[in-house]
Amino acid sequence: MGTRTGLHKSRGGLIRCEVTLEDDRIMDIILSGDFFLYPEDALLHIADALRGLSISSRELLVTTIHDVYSKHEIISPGCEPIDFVSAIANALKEEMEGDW
Amino acid sequence: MDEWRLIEFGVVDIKYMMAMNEAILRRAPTNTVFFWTPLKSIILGFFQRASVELNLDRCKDYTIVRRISGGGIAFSDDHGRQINYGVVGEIDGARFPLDIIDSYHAICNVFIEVLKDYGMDAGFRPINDIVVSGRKISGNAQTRRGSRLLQNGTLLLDFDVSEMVRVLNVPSEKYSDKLVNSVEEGLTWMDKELGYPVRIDDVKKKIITKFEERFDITLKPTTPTPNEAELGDELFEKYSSPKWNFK
Repeated sequence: MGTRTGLHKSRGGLIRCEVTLEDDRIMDIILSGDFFLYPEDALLHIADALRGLSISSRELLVTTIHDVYSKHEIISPGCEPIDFVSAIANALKEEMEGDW
Repeated sequence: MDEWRLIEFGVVDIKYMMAMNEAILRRAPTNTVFFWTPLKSIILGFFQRASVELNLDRCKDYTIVRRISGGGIAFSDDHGRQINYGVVGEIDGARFPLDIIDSYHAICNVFIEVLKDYGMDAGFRPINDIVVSGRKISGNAQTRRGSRLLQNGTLLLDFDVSEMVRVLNVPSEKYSDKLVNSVEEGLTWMDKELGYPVRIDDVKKKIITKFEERFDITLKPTTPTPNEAELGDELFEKYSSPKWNFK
């Protein structure tokens, strides 16, 4: 499949996700938008952690982002890990089944 | 009473100004308030991408630059009818609270009081906006380095909504008067609220006075230190590079 784009409006701003899958795994992902996230460089760590993950479990993606938040002490007012996963879900609506 | 610095940059090259924002954040010898006037420029939030947000063919005569703080686009037309400010301060838990939204609020209160002085129903809308009767009149963006914060913001005196919408990446089939109207419904500016063109220098003077009153300080007019200017010159290259601005 090609790259797909999903948008999600969180309370802290719009999150845009461009994601490329191979089978059910995230090969590449670019997150952008007008939200706030501190420290700013940590957004790259979120994308890094998501690469290679299976999209079969929404919970796994949420937990993975939570772990990055803890490790890098991320603060993002009005924007939670689940909001990033919602942007991914919106990009991949066709692939999402089961527990999504 | 504590003394902070006050720097007026005037009309600037916005790339230079973004460089100086970072330089002041990193090297300011004390808390600092500064102003500048942008013309025909588009400042992207740190997490935004120019190719996604903008119709690049339509903004060839604009200076496009990305800043180090998050948030959305700060657009300026060629009228110079907006006040852009920066504050660099030590996060001391008192004047500048540790909580991010509280610290936005502490600085935005200065502008809210100024607008109230002009008789407007101004208030803070978390996370980072100032609104008048529910319409946004000021957007603000904050970043932090160590124990310091840098907050930038814009207070609109006049604003060309249709020109801003024209340069945004809106598919042509979606571009319409209706879209311009709906963006316009969410925004306002001082001249519109007051019904006359307010003097920009008068507004700035009020802002300076309110800063002094609210933070119990005096603001001393000055210029960047050689240390800041040197770093600003170095950083100018970064803020001029397509790699940074069009990541």
